[in-house]
Amino acid sequence: MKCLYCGEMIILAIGWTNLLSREDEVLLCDQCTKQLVPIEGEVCARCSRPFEGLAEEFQKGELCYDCVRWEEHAEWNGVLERNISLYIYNDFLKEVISRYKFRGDYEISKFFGNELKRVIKNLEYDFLVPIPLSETRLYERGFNQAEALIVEAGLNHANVLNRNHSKKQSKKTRKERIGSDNVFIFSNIEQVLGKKVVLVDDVYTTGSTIMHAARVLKDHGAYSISSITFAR
Amino acid sequence: MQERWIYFALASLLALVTAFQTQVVVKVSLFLFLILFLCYKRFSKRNIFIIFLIVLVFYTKARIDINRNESVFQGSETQFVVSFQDEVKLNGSLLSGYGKDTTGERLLIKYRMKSEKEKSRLNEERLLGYSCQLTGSLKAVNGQTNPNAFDYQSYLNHQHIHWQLVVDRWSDCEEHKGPILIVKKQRQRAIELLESYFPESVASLASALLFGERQIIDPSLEKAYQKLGIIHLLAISGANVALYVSIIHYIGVRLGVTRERMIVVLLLYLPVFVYLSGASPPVFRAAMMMFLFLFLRLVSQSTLSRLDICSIIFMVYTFFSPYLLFDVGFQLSFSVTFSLLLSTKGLLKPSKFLLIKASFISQLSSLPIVLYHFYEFSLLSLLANLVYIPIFSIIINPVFITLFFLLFIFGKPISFMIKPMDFLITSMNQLTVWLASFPFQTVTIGRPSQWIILVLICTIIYLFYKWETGKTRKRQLISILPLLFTLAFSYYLSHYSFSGQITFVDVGQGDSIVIQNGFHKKTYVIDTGGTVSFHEEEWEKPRNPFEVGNDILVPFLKGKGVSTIDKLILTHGDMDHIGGARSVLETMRVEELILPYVTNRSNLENEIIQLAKEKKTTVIFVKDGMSWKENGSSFKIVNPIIEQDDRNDNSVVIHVKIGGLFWLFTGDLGEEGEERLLREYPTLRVDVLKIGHHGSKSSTSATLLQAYQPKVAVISVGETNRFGHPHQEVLDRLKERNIKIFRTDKDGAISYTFQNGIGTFSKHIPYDVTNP
Repeated sequence: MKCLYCGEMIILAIGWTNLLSREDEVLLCDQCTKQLVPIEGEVCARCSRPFEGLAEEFQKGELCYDCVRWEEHAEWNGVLERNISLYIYNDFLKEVISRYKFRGDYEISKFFGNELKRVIKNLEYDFLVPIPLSETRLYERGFNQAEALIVEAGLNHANVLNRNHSKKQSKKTRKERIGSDNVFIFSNIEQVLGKKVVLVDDVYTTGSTIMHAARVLKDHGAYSISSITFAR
Repeated sequence: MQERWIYFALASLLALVTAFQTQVVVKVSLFLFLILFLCYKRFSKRNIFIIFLIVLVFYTKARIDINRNESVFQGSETQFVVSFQDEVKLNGSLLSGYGKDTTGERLLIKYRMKSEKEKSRLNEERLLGYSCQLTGSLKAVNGQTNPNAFDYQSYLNHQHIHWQLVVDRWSDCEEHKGPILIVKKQRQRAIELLESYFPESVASLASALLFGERQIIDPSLEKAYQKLGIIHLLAISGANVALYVSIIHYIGVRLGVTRERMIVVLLLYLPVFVYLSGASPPVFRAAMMMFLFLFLRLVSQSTLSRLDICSIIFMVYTFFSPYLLFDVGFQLSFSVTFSLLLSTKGLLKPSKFLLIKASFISQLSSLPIVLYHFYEFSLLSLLANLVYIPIFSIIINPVFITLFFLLFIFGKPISFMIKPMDFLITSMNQLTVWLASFPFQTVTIGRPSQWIILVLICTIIYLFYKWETGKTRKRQLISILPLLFTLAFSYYLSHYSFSGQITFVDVGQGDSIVIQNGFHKKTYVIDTGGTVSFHEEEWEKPRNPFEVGNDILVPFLKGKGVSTIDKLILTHGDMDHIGGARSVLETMRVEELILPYVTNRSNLENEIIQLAKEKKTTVIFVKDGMSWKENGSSFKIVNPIIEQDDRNDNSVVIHVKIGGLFWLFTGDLGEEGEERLLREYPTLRVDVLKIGHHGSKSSTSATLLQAYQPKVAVISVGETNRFGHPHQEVLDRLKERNIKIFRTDKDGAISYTFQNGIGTFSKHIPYDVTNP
């Protein structure tokens, strides 16, 4: 088996755990796995931002300063129940994700999908909703990176959102992102009224993408909205 | 294939275990387990194919070996040409060793030496490398005649030995040469050199650590090491091999030899090292692992992990000799090595607790094996390891290895080294004996069944697994619970039960009866057996004599989980009844020692009373009329009534009802004693009579049988004893009255197992002697 990311043969140094666990669950080599830093310990109760290494002034009780600011807005208060993120968005993960979505290495979604499957077990939900791409962007990339995770996890996705074309989020500042008009449109494929929805995306940075999408769903009567993102 | 070999090794282990199993159900379940495991693991198709292939190959190979493991001899042959590949042992006047006949079959050779001159002649080279014409007779090796005793017959069978050759005459010995023999002779000479230059303390430890030769270590010191669970330190370990290799490599590189060339030198040296070190399985394992590691470094870029190397060595080793699976040294060496290597990834990350963790892991991984073979484990052993491992690895081993090189270069050690080493080792030995003398440090679990062993292994693997994955300290600690529970359960099984047992232990010519009664399993031992020695001269005295107490009674009791004897009853002072008492008092806790109330005591009896007092055992002298009660049974002392001239007639005689039957334990009571007893107790209900004095014709009179009317008679007697016991007259008397006879020489140990007043007799039948 070769590592999904670096292509080296996976040679797992065998310990008690992998002696007794399944073979097919190992998709990354030890070297790459080591560079992925899982989000653990004390985190923000709303957005999973790790408190470790975060200055005191950005921690407000259970929440981080970012989330406090979101929740202070009447418009955004209570829209998102909570966001769960799995790994810290470090240089390595940035490189992995950029290879995945900008350079179209679809195979990496197998790893992400596997991880999604692991986390989703503990959640109760009715719909998994991938953050959509605009048609132009979808054409450029060939696949929706969020949808691919769900597909690879072997789960059903409900594409209840559409997206207008705009500048890439990653090219905008925080102010631009939060202040911008909502790019998401509700496409009435499934009825979300009174349902529990989990949004899926690859990265959570400022949270504005997730918040905008959640806003639309909330407006259409969703009971609760949480989100899973791979990196934070 | 990298990091896959552990699975292949496990597959080969499973195949071998299956091959050695006799029950089809177990075979099938092992195979099903393999299938389940493969399904669960989701290996690639290629790996599954390889695993099945390995299982098939190993299973077939082992079955072929098992089927071929039989003798080519009929048993009637008398002429042999035997070659000795290893040195023989000289123990007192007995020579014993292994030799290979021209047919290729290995034989156990035994010879009683005639004179001191002959002994010193044989002692020179101990026949190493010689082949001789032998005249003698083949004798079957006796099977195990007592539960929990060492099974010498199987032990030999696992080495493809089926006969012992009792030699009458030697002729035409000639010496052979060969590369392996040269190394073995060098080893022999080096050990002799050590013995002649050094005081015994240094020489014995040096020969153990440098040449893997433990023969000359003081047996009581060895026992102390064993008791503390640090006996492994007296063996050559993988760390020693690594130390040798790195020293030689360093010296070579310093002298300007290229690294590659040094690897070649080491590759050539390692096989020599194996034979210099006595070629025991642990040394073989360590040296072969090192060999493969260096070899791979030499020929290829890619390296295999140590776990892979260990697995490959395991497979190679077991493929060629599947029977090694039964070797304790092999079992311990591989289980500890595998466990440590599997732990390097998670559990043994560098930290200040590394040593503690590593010894804990070693202890745990050897626990099932230790329990299976020795029925007990030491509570002090973790601590003892933490003290002794540094002493050995920092001081003793490096010093000895330096010594080895000095010996190698100068041919003799430098004299200034002798005194400090003697001081160091003597004080360390004192510490060891002192530590081992602490009471309550050994937990005697008793012989665990195979199921308990299996569960123990599972709980230990579970513990390692959880320890590695557990996120919190608390979860890691909880994972030890299944193991503790299993141990407690196993302890409970052997210490508490509603059934009781009376066993007449086969101690050869002598008596020893073990009674276990009541829910709390009170343990009474009547007599301990004893080995009578007839050796007259100094040279005939064996260095490690066979001793019934130590070699039969104590293992029997430990196998039953006994660590405390409530009453040790010594009926009278003869060797064949109390000879084993010393070992019993020294290895186990004895609450009460009971002896006959007489003035005429043997010297041995007095020594034992002295020892018992030192061990804080209550000593009680009993006579007719005394009694005690236990669990509804009343133990009545009916003799000695008055002191008589013959010590045998003063034997403690006990009458008791246990398990629904009335028993009379008579010791060595003779005719006069019996008359006296009959006068005092003309009628006594006796269902089972322990025949007095091993069936001597001066005991068990017709009057006694007539008066007490026993239904069952038990004779405790040794095979082909020099007294001709049991006497035909006694047997006839018993047969006339249709009394059922059990005898330990024919039936092995005889047990009566009972519950709620009903019980059954069973014999621990020795193997069919004509067809071993």
